[in-house]
Amino acid sequence: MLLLDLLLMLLIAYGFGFLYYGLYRNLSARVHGRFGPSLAQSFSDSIKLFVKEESTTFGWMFYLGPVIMASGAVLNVLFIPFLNQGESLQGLSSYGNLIVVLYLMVLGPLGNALGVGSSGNPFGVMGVTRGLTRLLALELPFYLAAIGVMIDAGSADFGIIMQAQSTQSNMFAHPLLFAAAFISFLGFMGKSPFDVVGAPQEVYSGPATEFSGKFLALLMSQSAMFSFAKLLLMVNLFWGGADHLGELVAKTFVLFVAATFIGSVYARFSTVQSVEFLIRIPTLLGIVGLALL
Amino acid sequence: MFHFEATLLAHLFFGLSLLVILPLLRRRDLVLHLLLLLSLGILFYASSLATLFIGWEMMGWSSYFILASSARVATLQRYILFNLGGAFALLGAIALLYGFMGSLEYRDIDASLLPPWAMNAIALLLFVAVFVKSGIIGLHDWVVDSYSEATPLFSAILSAILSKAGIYLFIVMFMVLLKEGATEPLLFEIMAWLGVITSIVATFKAISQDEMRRLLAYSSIAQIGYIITILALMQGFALEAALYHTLIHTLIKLLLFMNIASIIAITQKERFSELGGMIYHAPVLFLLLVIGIIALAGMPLLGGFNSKFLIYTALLEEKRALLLGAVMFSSASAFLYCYKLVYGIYLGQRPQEASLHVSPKSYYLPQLLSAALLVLLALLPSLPVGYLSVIGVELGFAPLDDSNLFILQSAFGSFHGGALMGAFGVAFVALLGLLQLAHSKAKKVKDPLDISYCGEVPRSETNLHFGYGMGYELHRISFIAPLLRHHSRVLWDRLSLIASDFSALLSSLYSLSAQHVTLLALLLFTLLLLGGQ
Amino acid sequence: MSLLYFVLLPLLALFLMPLYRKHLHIISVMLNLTLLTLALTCTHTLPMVERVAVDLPFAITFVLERASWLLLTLFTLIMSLVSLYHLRYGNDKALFVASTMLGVGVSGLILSHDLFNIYIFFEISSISAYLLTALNQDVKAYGGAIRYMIVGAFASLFLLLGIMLIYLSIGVLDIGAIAERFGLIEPRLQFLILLSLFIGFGIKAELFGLNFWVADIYQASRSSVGSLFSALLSKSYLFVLFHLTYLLHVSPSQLFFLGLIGALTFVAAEFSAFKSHESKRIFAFSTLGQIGIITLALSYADAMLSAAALMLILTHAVAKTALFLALDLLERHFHSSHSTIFARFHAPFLMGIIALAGLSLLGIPPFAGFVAKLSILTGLASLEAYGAVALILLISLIEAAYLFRLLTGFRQGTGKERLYVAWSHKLLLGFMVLLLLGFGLMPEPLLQLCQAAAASMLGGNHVPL
Repeated sequence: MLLLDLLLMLLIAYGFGFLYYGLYRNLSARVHGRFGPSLAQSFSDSIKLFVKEESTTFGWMFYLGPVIMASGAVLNVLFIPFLNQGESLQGLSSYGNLIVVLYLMVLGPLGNALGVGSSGNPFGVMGVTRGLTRLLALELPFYLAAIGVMIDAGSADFGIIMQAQSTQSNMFAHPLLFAAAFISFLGFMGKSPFDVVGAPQEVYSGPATEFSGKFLALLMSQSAMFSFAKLLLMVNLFWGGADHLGELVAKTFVLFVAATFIGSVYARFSTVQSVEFLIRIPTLLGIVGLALL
Repeated sequence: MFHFEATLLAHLFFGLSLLVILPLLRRRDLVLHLLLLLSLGILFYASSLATLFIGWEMMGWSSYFILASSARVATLQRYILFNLGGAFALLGAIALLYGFMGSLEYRDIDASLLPPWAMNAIALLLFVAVFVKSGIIGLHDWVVDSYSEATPLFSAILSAILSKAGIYLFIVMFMVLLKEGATEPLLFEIMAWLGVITSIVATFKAISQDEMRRLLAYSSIAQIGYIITILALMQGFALEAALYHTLIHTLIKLLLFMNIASIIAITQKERFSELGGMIYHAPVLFLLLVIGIIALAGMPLLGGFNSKFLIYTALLEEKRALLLGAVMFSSASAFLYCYKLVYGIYLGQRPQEASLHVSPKSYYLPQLLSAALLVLLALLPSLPVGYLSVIGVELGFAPLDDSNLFILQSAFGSFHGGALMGAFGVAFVALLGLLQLAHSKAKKVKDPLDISYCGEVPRSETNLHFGYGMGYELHRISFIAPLLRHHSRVLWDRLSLIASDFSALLSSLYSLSAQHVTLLALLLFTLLLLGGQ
Repeated sequence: MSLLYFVLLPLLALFLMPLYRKHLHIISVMLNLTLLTLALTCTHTLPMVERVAVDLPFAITFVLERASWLLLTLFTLIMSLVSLYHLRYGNDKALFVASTMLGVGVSGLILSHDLFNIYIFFEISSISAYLLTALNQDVKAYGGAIRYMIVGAFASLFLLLGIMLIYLSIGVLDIGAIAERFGLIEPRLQFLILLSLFIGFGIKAELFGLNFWVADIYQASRSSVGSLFSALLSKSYLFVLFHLTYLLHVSPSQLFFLGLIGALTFVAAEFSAFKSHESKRIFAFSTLGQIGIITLALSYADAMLSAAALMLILTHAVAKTALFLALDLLERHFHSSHSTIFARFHAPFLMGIIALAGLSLLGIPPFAGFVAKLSILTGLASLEAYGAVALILLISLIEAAYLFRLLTGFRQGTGKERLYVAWSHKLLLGFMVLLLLGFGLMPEPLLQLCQAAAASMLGGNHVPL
């Protein structure tokens, strides 16, 4: 029963992940005044890549990098509950908590970074370095917000955090914390203005430089699932989670569209700029939000 | 009355680590290492402050003489002066305590008799001793140089074992002997922030290092900064978190320093800029290092997360949101130096083919042991909890729940180590199988230089390993740059300059001729005669 | 058992020199060991008084109480060790004469119970010290000896002035009698007398303001002689100075002044050593520093602190002797005592001896020096003299800096010369370090002796006429 539940969760994350990915390409194209690809384009790209004849590898660590990355994404999906009530779609969330998830979110990228590094391509590492440098400022506002949420609920457990929001969601109870977390969230989603990590015009191609064929397919799939997990986290922490699947889709969709629109209109920050911005505005918001707690 | 279970900690942390390392040592230094071991024993089994101090000082000078075989004179001077400075502060505190208690035995000490000013003065003196040993920022100058100039094996002892002495001293003094004392709470508040500021500054400094052991030295300072912060809460669960982190950090640093010792033995190089691409030469070492850095970064799936989790929940329970934010910030920044460590040594391209030596087999044993323990602790995170609870209970705190060894409990939630490991294992195997079964075949490149390089073809002399310089952009970030630019060393150097100027002035007095000496004596006589009348 | 033996036996040995001029080194050892045995046999018969009345007030009065016994034992022990050390180097007439005379001088100084004899032994020890300085018979040694003589004569002058004033005003020279009648003297004259005695003994006891000659003299003389100067000479003067201070019931402000001088001696000496690179000079400064601490501790006239100070005198004497003798070995080999020689040889045993004796000197556990230092610190703390505690701890860091810099030489440098140390020397040096270690680990017996001695010293154990 549990196994079925877990598989269902992965399937939902996979499906909605790719759906949102397609939507994102479409929506941002519309904002830019283009038509954009079809909704299923990303999905069919990933399938195509997966069945390619040949994929280049640089050794066993290079091979394992995407696997670790994808395992990380799977774990993220499994350890965040989809719904705030009932038995189903809870996954393994009772075995973990928010702090575990916050750290699991970094596990995959770090594993992949090992694969990137083992390729010996300096551009890949450049992307990783940018990512890690940005990360040190990106995490701070999000952590502050999460700390506020946990102290408010008196627990790091997702169930209790969502229960505590049954009367008023955290977004309205702690608007400053939400603002801080949302700005960080944009960065986590790789949206502008914090998308310097894989910026194609600047770095040759970022962390994914050397990956091709089935490796790239795996990376694309995990990215779709991982994005859904991040949406899920935001919904759980600030919007009180969802009562049923419909509500979940609606909430994640709203959040997703908001992130996409904001991301489409901003120009990109350089690494240094994004660190300096994140350490000032959202961090300050977070600190004030914590002080008001 | 007094039987401090933490003395048993000696068996666990210190005895174990030393016994692992001892067989590896050159015979010439064996006596000194045995003395060091003895000094730790004295320190942990002391029943009076005098004995404690004997252990503390012996530890200082025996490690000094071990260090003296490889370090520069300036480093040694710094090492002994800082260590003795801390020791003398401890001695001052002991003397002050004696002034009130009239005894140095542990059982005769009753801190409730101390007037507040004396308690605070003793606390400040003890802080100096603890902070110097722990390398709190401003007092850390000796740490980095001595770690990087010691023999590779001794660096491991310094970092894994000796750096914990300050923590032990704090626990014995503040949580056992002076528990009843009326220490000003503000002092602990300052200590908590000093700890976290230390860990943030040290983390950034670690990122900008080019030498492996200097990076790890700063990382040690940062990790001990967390422990200092958490201890300053003076709470039972905080104490257990601190002890857990001490255990984890001992294992990690033993693993990492021994790993680097192996690399130094193989390549004879110390800098990231001269290394790189070692993964395919030493895959086992690479895996061991990866285990080390993942634990160091505090990721789940390895023991490092357990103590981080306890530290975070302890801070949450005390509602210290800002302190926790700062700790988590420092902890997230640590990912960068963790990656730099593994990239600089093992990943990227090998700069040029140089002759490689063989690493001594005996270096693997401590690494394998530590790695196994880190994995075991990830699976059974509550394994040491019962043990830590005993210490906590003895110090008058409530015990932790360890009914299920798989689950690490805290007041702010729990997690299941087995479920995490299991889920990751299943996902990993399934995805790996999927990749293997794919129609697409993985083809290994014949030439490592066969990479996408902006449409150009790199040649063997092209520098492709410039990633070792990662962290350089920190110098351009306005709030980090000043931290990297300034060194407390300037202050100490100035102080030493003043001392030697003063010394030159005074020593010139001692070169006076006999006439002048007698003249001065006559002058003194006259002055005293006039003044005395 | 007569106390006169401690003076007469060495003098006899000197007079009979022509009989055994080829075996002076052996005679020296035998003499000193005999004196040590004699001193040890006195343990159970303390206090002892010996008076040879020539014609009052010019009597010879010797008193041996707990404190002087402790020092006498120490002195005979150090003399024995030094003479044993020289056994290997054969017959040395000048050394025999000078060191035996020094023995007579310092024993007499601490035994004498009247100012007349104190003056006599003061002169005997001074003259032998000049001889010892000139032992090397080169320009440096002679220059040093002449400087020493000028300063020493100056000290004698003041001492004589003080003694003369006392005799003129109360007509007695016996210390006990002086102690009883000193209060009868007009206060201003009292002050002049005390000041003269202070200057006279202060120069010889190497106190600040009066000690600027010391480093040069140590540097000019042999290292082995340095051990005699450091362990015997300065300590005997210091003992007499404080013996008189306690007996004459000087005022608290004068005691405070002595303490201040002690602190200044300590600070100035440690700072001066910081820059020095000449090991004999460094050891000289370190001796001055210890004298400063001892003076500071004794100036409180407190039983516990005085016991601690006596303990420091003992441990310092043994540690310094070991260091100077080890340095003498090096100096004989390298013909230099610059601190660079420490990096030029390889001899694990000798290096260990120097390192361990140095640690004891610094007051680092588990050596006897630590017990002394800890006692001083706890003693000061129980008197609430926290400033003094802080001063000692802070300045000790400077001491640590230069001593450890010296010791670092052992582990540095390449192409070291292997240095062979004779078995007899190894035994001797090893014995001294074992003493330091043994009394560091089991300090109780020694502490008790020191406490008894301090009580006797402070109690003004004078013998009525």
